[in-house]
Amino acid sequence: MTLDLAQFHDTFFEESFEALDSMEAALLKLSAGDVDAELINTIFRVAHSIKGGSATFGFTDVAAFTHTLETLLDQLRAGKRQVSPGLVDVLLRSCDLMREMLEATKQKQPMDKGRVATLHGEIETIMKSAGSEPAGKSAAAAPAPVVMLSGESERSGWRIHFVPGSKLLRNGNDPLRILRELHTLGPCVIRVDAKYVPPLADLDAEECRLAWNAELSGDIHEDQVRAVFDWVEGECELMLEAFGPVKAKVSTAAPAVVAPEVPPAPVAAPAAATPTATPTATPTAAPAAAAVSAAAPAAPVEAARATNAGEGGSIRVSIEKIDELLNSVGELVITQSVLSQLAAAIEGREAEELRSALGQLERHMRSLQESVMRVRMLPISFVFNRFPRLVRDLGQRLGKKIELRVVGDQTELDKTVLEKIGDPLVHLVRNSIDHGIESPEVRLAAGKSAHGLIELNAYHKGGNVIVEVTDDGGGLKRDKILAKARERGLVGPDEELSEERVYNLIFAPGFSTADVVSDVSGRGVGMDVVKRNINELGGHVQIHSTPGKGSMVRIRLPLTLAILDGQLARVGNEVYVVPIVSIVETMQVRSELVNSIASKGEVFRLRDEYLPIVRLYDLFGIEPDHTELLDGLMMIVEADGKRVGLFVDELMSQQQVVIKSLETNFRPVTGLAGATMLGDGRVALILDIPGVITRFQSKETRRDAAQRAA
Amino acid sequence: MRATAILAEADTQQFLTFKLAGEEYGVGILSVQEIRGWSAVTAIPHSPAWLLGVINLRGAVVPIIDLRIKFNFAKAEYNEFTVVIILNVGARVVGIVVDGVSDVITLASDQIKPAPSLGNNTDTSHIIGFGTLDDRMRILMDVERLMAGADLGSIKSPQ
Amino acid sequence: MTPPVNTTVPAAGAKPVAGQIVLGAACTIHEAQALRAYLLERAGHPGPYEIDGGGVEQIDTAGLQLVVAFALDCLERSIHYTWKARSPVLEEAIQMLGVAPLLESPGAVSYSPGGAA
Repeated sequence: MTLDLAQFHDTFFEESFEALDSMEAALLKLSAGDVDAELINTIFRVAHSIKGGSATFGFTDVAAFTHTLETLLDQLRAGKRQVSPGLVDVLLRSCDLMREMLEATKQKQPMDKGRVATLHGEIETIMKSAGSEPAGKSAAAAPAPVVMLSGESERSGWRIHFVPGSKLLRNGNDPLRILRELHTLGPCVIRVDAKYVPPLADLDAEECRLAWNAELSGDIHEDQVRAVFDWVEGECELMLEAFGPVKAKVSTAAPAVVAPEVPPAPVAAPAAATPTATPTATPTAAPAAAAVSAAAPAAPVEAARATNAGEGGSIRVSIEKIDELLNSVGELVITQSVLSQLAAAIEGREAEELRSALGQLERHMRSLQESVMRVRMLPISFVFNRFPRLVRDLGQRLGKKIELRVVGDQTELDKTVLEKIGDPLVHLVRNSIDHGIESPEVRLAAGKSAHGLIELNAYHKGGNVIVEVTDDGGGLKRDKILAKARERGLVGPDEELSEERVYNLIFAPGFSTADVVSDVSGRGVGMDVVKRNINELGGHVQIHSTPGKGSMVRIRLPLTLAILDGQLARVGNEVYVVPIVSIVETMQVRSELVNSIASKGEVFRLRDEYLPIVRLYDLFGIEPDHTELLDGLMMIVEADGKRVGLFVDELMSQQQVVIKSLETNFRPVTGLAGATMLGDGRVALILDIPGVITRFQSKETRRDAAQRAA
Repeated sequence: MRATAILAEADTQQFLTFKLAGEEYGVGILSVQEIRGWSAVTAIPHSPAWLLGVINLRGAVVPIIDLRIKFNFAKAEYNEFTVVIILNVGARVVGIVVDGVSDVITLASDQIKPAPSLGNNTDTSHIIGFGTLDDRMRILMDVERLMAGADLGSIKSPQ
Repeated sequence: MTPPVNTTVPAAGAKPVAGQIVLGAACTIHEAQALRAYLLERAGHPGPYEIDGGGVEQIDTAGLQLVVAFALDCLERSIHYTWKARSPVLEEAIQMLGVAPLLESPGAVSYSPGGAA
């Protein structure tokens, strides 16, 4: 029996982590004031399912903790306890703790029982304290607002959206009276929307900036509802929407299943015709169904997740199957390419038709390839979703006020890239909060708003995904960076660098100018690792900054790891593929641009820089067409902030290539990023520019040493 | 020509035999994926001389090793008679260049003599033993140890 | 506008205790300007705050909105406050307007923001 269960462990862990993510998202919404019975239900169900699963598999620690949590959440759900900022905080910490416990259980590592006991104790204390239900003290006439119970079915009633206008209060009307009256019609759930309440200092005391969404249950006629608002008609925004009897769709699939985002409810126009209280369930009238969370809910897992609501439908697919599919399609592309080449050599009228048909085939192939690649693509929201919580916690911890703005979170990128871009982004945001954004006092003194702004922006451009992390903090300190770089020997004492180059020095290994090594970042291991991780993905990162105004880190990533935009270049009989993302420019060599400097060997002058010349034929041991620099081409490439000129015989076409790993059957080779098949079936090696430069440098060093020894 | 796996008796093993610089060798039949003619190879820079490069085998990047060079025999030619045996070694696919392929033979355990240690520094760990059949001796090789000794992917870090 | 029926206006010479906020008996739109000014003055003192709502006898949306705005400001500034008391009238208004989730629970033990795990 134990053997049978073990095979389900992985799924349990996977689904539990996803569920905890949706719980966190729901908690964040609650803490923003959006108190929705659905959110509370979501949170409850997460705890409930994790409790059940962990009990089944014998993970007693997790089960015990989650059980207590579930009891607390049940109080919330039943209206015996109200949501409050402190409560949300405890719940968020519980969410974190559960993640840790599950991870520890998964890795078969011990968990700090003390911490679990402490938080467990806190929860029990809360449960024992009085709920905010005014026990017997409230006026008899005030009904307690009821939180919707999950699983409730066969309801009908009205959804009411009420936004008082600016004169409503001054005209002697009072939403408090109106809502009381609404309660007399039937059970009513009131949700306030405090989004537009400005800071007290800016608030006009006689203008109502609160708005309300209410759900009135019962078989009530529209006229009755409108009558309640008679006095304020014309002084407010009022929208009514009926909902009919709904068969509750409680998810019967694995409880952690989450439905895809459902479109918002259609809202009836203010004085429009009566919406019929029909029994047809609208897509959104499934409040008791699998939870709705506007933010894409889960960690990057497979392409899609299962839902039993029957909406749209999606399935879990293993990543291996998708890779196989992608591989097969890649092969098809090559075969079609070979066919085209063969057809090009045939004469005759049939040949024309053949070529035309093959042209069509090629178009279909490209389209197929794009479709399959898109299967692996997921929106970057999966990664961006971490940040509201991170920014909130970190801001609190450091005493800074941060506003987080996210743009373009539906921008899609390949799943593998997505998985690996998370940590670098977290580090960059932490860096901005820690070192970029100033404390509120400093900001105010500088004439800025007390709130710092961090913006995450993602968009597609030219076959790449661009991700920008911008802050409006103090910017980078050029002089400090330059001084530190000189201290570390990264820059010569007299070397002058452009401002841009100075800023990008922060990506050099071991570099950190933080005055105090905070535990958040600043240990000096951060930025260079960020850069390396991004380079490994085939991407590129740069920082721009304006002193006093802020900084922006711009990351450029390939749309997919499997495909690369390459420039074919020939050296002798060998054809190499150079990633376009690394190429700065290519030019013919002019003698006046070439110099020989004693300490640096051959260099090529590009505007105001001197770049080392790498003779690829020499580096790779190939017989080239040309050894004279003037007869070949100089390809200026860049990696890790270093630039060199690659000397090649000829440039060929630019094309998209499918990257094959050398490691599958062979091993990694410095200077090579992989291999690919050309149209003629031959293998071409893909250059890894950082590796090429490393190889070149070690070769030069060895040659120098040999010369000195001689 | 594709070698097919043939069910063997419990106490016998089957080998694909081939010629290499006049000697006859054999490898376990189960490790043989296929046999191909010679095709153009893409050289990998700074690889050992016996690693000729890689080929495209239906979309896979497969390294090709020339055992004649690895074993320090006189370098042979690459022409239309050259044969490449594609082997499955663990999870890897590797090709070896040989002078020609012979038969598939079945040897009983008592027909296989263990390899004597040659005393000098020659590494013979890849040799299972010597199999004699029809008065001809074949040197039987363990493909996995052969590849391990060939330093294929055992070291992950770049040089 | 009648002057605030507010027993909180400190008697001449008495200094209000830093951090203490006392809501008057009437917190309606008629007292709104004065209440706003009072809350702003209180907000000028460092936290944490203790809000005494036990004496509230009349309150409407305008009055409660001011309290809500004050509470939201505290959240923004990460300053803590607790409720010393909430009168039944105040409690009912809080429930009716659905603003309970925006306010600290009455009589709750303070939870430090961001809490040590």
